[in-house]
Amino acid sequence: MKKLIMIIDDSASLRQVVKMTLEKLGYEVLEAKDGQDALNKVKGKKIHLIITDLNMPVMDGITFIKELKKLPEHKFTPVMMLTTESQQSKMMEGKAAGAKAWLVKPFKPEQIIAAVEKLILP
Amino acid sequence: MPLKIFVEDEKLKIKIDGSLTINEVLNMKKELSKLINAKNINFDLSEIQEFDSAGFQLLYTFIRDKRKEGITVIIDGISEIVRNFQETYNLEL
Amino acid sequence: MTTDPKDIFIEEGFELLNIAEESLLDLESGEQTTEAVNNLFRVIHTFKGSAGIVGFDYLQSFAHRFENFLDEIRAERIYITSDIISLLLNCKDYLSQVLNHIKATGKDYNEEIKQKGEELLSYLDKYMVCHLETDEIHLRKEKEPEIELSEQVSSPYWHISLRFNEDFFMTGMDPYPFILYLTKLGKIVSINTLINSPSFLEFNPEKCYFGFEIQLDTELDRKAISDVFEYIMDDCSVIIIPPKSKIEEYVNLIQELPEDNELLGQILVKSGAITERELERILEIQKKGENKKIGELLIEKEKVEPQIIQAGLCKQSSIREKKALEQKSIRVDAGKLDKVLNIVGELVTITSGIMQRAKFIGDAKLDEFSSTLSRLVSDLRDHSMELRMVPIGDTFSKFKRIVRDLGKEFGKEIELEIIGGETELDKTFVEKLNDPLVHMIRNSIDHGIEKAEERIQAGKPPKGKITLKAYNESGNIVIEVTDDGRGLDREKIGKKAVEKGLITSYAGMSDQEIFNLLFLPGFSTAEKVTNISGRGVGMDVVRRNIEELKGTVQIFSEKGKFTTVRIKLPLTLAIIDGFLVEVNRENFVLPLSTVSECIDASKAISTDRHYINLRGKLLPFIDMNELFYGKKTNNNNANIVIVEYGEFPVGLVVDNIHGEIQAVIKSLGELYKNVEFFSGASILGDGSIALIVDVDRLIKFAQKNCKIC
Repeated sequence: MKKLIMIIDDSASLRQVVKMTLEKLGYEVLEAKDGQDALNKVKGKKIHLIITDLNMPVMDGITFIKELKKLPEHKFTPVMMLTTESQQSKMMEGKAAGAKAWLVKPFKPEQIIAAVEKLILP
Repeated sequence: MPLKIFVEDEKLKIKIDGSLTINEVLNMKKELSKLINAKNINFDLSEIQEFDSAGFQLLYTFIRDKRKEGITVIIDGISEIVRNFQETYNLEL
Repeated sequence: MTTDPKDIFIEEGFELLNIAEESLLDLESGEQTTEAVNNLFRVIHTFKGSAGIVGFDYLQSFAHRFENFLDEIRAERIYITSDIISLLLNCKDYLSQVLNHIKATGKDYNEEIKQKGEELLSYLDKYMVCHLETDEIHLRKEKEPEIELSEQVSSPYWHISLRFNEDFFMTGMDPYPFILYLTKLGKIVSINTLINSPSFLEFNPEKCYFGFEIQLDTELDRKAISDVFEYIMDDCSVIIIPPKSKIEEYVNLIQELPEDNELLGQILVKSGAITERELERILEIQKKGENKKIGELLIEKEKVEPQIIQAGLCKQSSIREKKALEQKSIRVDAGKLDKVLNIVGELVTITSGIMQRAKFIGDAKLDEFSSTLSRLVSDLRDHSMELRMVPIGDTFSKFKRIVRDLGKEFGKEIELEIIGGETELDKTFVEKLNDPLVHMIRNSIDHGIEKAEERIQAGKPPKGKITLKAYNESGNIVIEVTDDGRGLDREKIGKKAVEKGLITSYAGMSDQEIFNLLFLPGFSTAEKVTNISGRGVGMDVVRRNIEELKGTVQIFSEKGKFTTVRIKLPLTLAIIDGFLVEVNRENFVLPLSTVSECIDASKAISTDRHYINLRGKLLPFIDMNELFYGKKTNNNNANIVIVEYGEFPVGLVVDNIHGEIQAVIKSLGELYKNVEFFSGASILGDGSIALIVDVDRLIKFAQKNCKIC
């Protein structure tokens, strides 16, 4: 059974890079283009890791994390934030909302692999 | 967390199927707490597919306490993931 | 004489252990202490050597540790206390136990034995360790000047101490991938995982109680290691100590971590981060600081442990007493016993002859002698009967397996309780009881005990219970098989009996009467024939077997609660309490247990019909004269002895009643073994012979051949 990872970002190309990288590692990848899109897709699903951008249209990452944590089935779903150096305060907000891991953009595929490996059980 | 508890061979057998993770531990604890009278407990962990440290911690604590009470707890079967945890943690259930 | 060295070793071993025990008892009484210790040491030393030579390695290794301990005593490094003597006695008993095990199985260990051995060795070690510790302290003190405060630890690896916050799991994170990730940095040399969870009841499974002590072999730097934990720095404490760090680093570590310092120290030693010596140093430095906790702990520990040991020993010493008793017994061939009993039987007979003759002669002196003789013979008889008695416990224990296996077959969990295993009964009984007991236990498991679900619905514990109980009751031995199952169903049994044509109606029958229907041949309540109880063997066969032993069997039951089958047996088979009657000037013995009352025949017999009116009830009777000699009893003084045929009374018409006697049973021998209704013969005091009537078969025979009853 493949583990399911969701990538939420408004950039389709970023999603594609993440998707390809993770699929190569044997994960199944679900995409969402913003927080709202993601919320619609995660409901009732078992997801092993959610990687979310913070700055997105429609629903931003912080709001998404807060909404996600309200869903009982995602109480324990780990969330990783994609941030930039300039978003330190946002990152703190994200941590407070329940996302513990982060990755600073721009990142290389190896970095996302390393991050994912620390968060997902084999 | 399909949990099967049955009696066989004078022993209480507990079989956990599928997933024993942080998502299931609260319910699992409730189920295990009911087994206060068992004298012999055999765990079948061979069908656990999803497992995490919370699951490990739950089994560990339960088994540790039962053994302290003098109850014989035997692990009949163990799945690959549970075995990996044991090996990585260098801690036998 | 055996030539197998193992057999010789067993024999020799027991002898050695006996000497060991004597020495230990000498020690306890304070006699010849030095000599006793030396003896003990020598004996165990020999024991060890022999065990090794014949290939009992486990036994040898235990004896070796035992010997080491004795050597410490001999060197006066361990002082003898009563606790120590108890412990040594336990060790000695343990060796006997192992010898017995070898005798029974040919092997010197199994799991249980090993476990017990470990336990004993750990007790021995406690004393050894105490002693070694003091030794080491001396050593350390001597070397103290060499130790510098800035001493480095010897471990060449990174040490990582992790303690996770309780809320760690709440973030969806898990320590596991982080630990795995470490292997990318280098090799995990050792890892000790601590799960400091509270007791299961108080334990919140969503909280994290993990901690780790890790030795990591890596070329990478501190940053690389700490980066692994970047995400979780806020949610756990990470302490990283480089290789060959100053010992103070560990002093701080130990102080910082939440666990008991000593325990933690041991963990660090185990993980290889520090050595035992280093730990001692660390703890010492710490102690110097301000922390007196460890010292207090040590003292407390010393206070507690002897009590624990004592508790363990008390339990074991009662076992030891029992063992000692066992060792006083000897094994005798059952055939030899039978011979003695036979002669005693003859002696009983001849003595009553002498008694009668003495009375007849009327010589006072002779009377006195014969009375004394009679008393002695009677004592002799009682004591020789006892020789044949064995405890029923062993037989009972065998059923554990049967209960287990059958329970499994039926998917029922059943516990077997044994009460009164020490009750003694004649060896012959023990053998002959086996089949009936097996049958009854099968019945209990098959018909009695309900499935777990049914039991839970009935408000019973899911685990069924079968109790085997034996006890003495007024000169008899009673054996009960009880199950806490669904009990007997009066209606069901009654209907079945009517269906089978065994009775016409069960209305008005008492429960007892209805239960007794189960003993009728051809009765089986099982709706389906199962392969357990439905083997064409019913309770009638059980009763047959028990009656062959001159016993009786009864059933008690309460619907939904229990069923008890109670077997009552005489103390012995060799002598029965009999009831002597005369038919056609011949003597016959009826087993007293079957006789319920005697009535005057002249008042009861009515014409030709084979029934008498007994207090308003019709009672069938058998005329013994007619049965044995083909002529009707024609005697005004005739009596009717009422015997119980099962629960149905039957009258036996006899010419004369002589009353109760003790009859020594003699077999009729090959020639007469087919005689149906006599179970044996007895020689009476006057030397005449009386046949012992098997009442049950007599009535069956009569039924078949005379169309009576």
